[in-house]
Amino acid sequence: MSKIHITTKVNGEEVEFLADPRDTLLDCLRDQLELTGTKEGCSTGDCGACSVTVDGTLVCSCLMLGVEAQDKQIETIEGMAQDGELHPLQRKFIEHAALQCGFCTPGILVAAKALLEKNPDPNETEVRYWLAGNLCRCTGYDKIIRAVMDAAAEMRGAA
Amino acid sequence: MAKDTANELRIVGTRPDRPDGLDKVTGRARYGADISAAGLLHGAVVRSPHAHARIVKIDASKALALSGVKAVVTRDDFPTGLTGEAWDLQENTMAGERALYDGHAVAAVAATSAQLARDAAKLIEVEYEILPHVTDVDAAMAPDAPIIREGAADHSVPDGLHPNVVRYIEFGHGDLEDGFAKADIVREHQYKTEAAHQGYIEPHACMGQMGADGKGEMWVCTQGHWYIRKMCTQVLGLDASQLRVTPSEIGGGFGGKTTIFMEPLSLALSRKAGGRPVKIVMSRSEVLRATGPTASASMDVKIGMTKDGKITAGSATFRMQGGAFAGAPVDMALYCAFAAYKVPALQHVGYDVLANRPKAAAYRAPGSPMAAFAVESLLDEMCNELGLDPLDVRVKNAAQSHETSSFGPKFGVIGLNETLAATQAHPNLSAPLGPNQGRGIASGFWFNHGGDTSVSMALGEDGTVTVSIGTPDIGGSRASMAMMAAETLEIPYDNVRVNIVETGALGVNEPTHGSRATFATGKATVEAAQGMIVEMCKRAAAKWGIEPDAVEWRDGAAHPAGPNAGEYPPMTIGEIGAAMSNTGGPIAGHHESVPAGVGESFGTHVVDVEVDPETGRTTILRYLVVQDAGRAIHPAYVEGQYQGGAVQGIGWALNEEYVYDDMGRLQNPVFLDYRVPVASDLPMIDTVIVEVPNPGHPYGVRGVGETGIAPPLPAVANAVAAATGVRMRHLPITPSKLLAAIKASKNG
Amino acid sequence: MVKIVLWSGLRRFTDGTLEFETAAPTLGRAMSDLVAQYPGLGPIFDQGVSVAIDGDIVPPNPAMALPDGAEVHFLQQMRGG
Repeated sequence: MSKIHITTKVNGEEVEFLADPRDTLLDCLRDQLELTGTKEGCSTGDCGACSVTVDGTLVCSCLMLGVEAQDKQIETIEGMAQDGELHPLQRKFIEHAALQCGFCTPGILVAAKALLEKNPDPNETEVRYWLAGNLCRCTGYDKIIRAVMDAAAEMRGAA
Repeated sequence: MAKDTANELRIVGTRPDRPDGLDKVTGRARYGADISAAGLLHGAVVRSPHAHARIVKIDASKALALSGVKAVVTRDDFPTGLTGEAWDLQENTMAGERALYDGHAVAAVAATSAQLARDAAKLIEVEYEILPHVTDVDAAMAPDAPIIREGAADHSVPDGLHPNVVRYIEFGHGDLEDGFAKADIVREHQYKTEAAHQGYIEPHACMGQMGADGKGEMWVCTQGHWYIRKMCTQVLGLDASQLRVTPSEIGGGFGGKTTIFMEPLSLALSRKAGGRPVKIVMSRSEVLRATGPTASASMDVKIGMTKDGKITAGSATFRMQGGAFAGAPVDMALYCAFAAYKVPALQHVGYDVLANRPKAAAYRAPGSPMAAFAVESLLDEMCNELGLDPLDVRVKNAAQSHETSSFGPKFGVIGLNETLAATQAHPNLSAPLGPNQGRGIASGFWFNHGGDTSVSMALGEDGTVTVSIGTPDIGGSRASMAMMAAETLEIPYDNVRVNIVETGALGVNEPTHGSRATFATGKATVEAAQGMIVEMCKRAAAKWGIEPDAVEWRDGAAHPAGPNAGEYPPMTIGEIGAAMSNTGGPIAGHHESVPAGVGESFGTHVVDVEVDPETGRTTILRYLVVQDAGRAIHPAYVEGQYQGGAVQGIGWALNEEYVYDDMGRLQNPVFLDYRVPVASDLPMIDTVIVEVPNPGHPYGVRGVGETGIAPPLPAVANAVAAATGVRMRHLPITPSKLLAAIKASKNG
Repeated sequence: MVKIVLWSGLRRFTDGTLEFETAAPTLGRAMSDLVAQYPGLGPIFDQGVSVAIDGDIVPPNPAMALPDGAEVHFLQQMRGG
């Protein structure tokens, strides 16, 4: 099967790649664009490790085909820090020790950023339900939730 | 001599940022699958869809005919003549005459893309003759159970047991009959737990390369790269030193990544494909079907207790299946079963049983959670019957430092009493409970471990220090090693860089398992630092023209020791580093040992639940972990271990199990159906770090990673019993099972 | 003298005795003395055992010196860790 040439925007930059029609967006990000920060944990949309945003919507990139990326705006973990400065969520995750192995961390950070862009003042329950699609096996979620809420508070204070 | 009083410590006990934090929050850190190489091929594995089948024929011709397919391997590509555990590993890596479980690898193929490899795998034709199978542990011991392997029992197994029983455990002490006679009540029940998977979010992944000369390289996510090296070379008949294994960052392990699964296949395929590197990444369903879940257990426990709560006798008979190979952790389960208690008479009997399931691997305190579920549940039932407070009963019977343990030897210094006292004092115990709510308490134990440890340390020309360690960083241990090195050398934390180095760079290291990294690698790091200090003092002494023992190390510099040594300005570590080429050459420290002085860790958990009487759903309202860490080098990472272990235990208690159909096929090999806890299932997890320092470690460290998964299984079951009046003795307590049990108890 | 304690499941290989005093200088000598007395222990020891010296679980190094007055417990080999 011949590959299809795709042009799209990733983290604000125009990129192009060749996609096998059966490749997922996750496969293309990782293998064609060498953006390996987005992870594969299950390839069935259950773990959220592959979370990215597409045109502002949080999606599991394992559930989208690479060829569907044509002319979209995709944001991955690699685009979260701006000009070398960490996003408050990234800083708070380090500060709160909200990661142990760190494998789920990119997906959770992308998902949490999407939440705070939608709802800058979520309560604990809202954070937990928003992140219910992001599995973490190491932390038990406690420090993750604390980090997200602390980052939200800081972002509200700065706003 | 390292400092051991808390108020002398400058860095140990604080919470600095972990050195790999930046890489991990930006996506830069590279895990098993995050690698590529020139000429890369992708591997795919053909797996048996049958639980037990003779492999009649494998025809790979159609696959090999595809353009882009470069190699196919079967068991014929492996050496013969292995025995014992090496044979088991080889047989599990690729099936020989028979497929032994649903998912067992029977062939592998390498091709120029992952899609092509998967297509090619589907074209490999395997003819099977289906055989009778057995997946349940009790059924596997029955006289009519299909025999999985003849002659696999070791010398421990008495005559007359089914061939599927491969190991037999028996130990105890005291007069059991007399002990039960002295009790006011004697109760016995059967408890069962199901197989669970460690559930790490990162699937196994490796890239292996091997030439015709048997020299190879491997990049792999693993808890222990020397184990990978040893096992791959055993299975492939190669020399260990010719395979260099580099560990990637690891996305969770919990014991499941301390062994090999598909790694040898990447090397075998590579060699057959002219030495091109072969990358194999497991899918989630492959991980669940064909890596190493833990054992399922069927356990009989009997306890005798006096009216005022003294345990007079106990017996435990455990049957566990660890898949189609020996290795169910029935030994450790029995060693842990009564470890928290001082009981005058105990008997333990255990059976390690084969079944047509994947080869079990370690899962966080292997055996301890199952044992805790059985013993702590029965104790709770008896406390309820006698109207006794479960914490008071634990205090009354608690194992003590320097006294005989339930498993034989005397304990050293242990902190069980302190965890019980801290639990009794905690405000969670007085949180009010409403309707359909209940509280459960349980204690747990893990031995922890020392094991082969090899560390080296080097001084830079600018006085900064590099530490080379062999235990992969799963949960922040780089930070802890840097903290211990900086504390010992008395230099800033940021002046130390810790690297986890490949197998060619150090002596053998055991994996990051057994809760050993902070203890063993930490102790070796301290020893290596002390070795460096001796050498640095020698350099200063030589410069000053005094004896080396007249020099002391303080605040990151060499000082004359006392006024009689002479007056010289201190030489800082930076000055010593800058001059080292001219004063004797490079300065490095190193340490190799199997460290003694391992400190056990006890924990006590309290959980409050609410059970919905209409759906049977159990909600965790409150959870408290109280555990002895000896000394918390980095308290945030200790808390993280407590919380993570608790949540894995909650999942095992409420939801997680391997479901097999009547053909022996795994029904739930995806995360949708193998349901681990998610953020919305849980509250915050409260933690109390108790510190009863371990005299065997310079900073008092006890391993902490594992103990925390044992108490949740019984604590949750005890809480559910308190909330509903219904005692669940078979985990997991899924909503449908609990609802059925509640209904039955109302009707019965 | 050193006290050796075997696990109770080995009763069927010894004549019921589980505790022994030994003057053997090393672990290996102590073990081979026991096997000489009770040959049934041979295959069990060959399979591997776990050893605790005064409560410290240590690798079963045959050359390990047995400290005078120590209590040495033999446990069925801890494999499941």
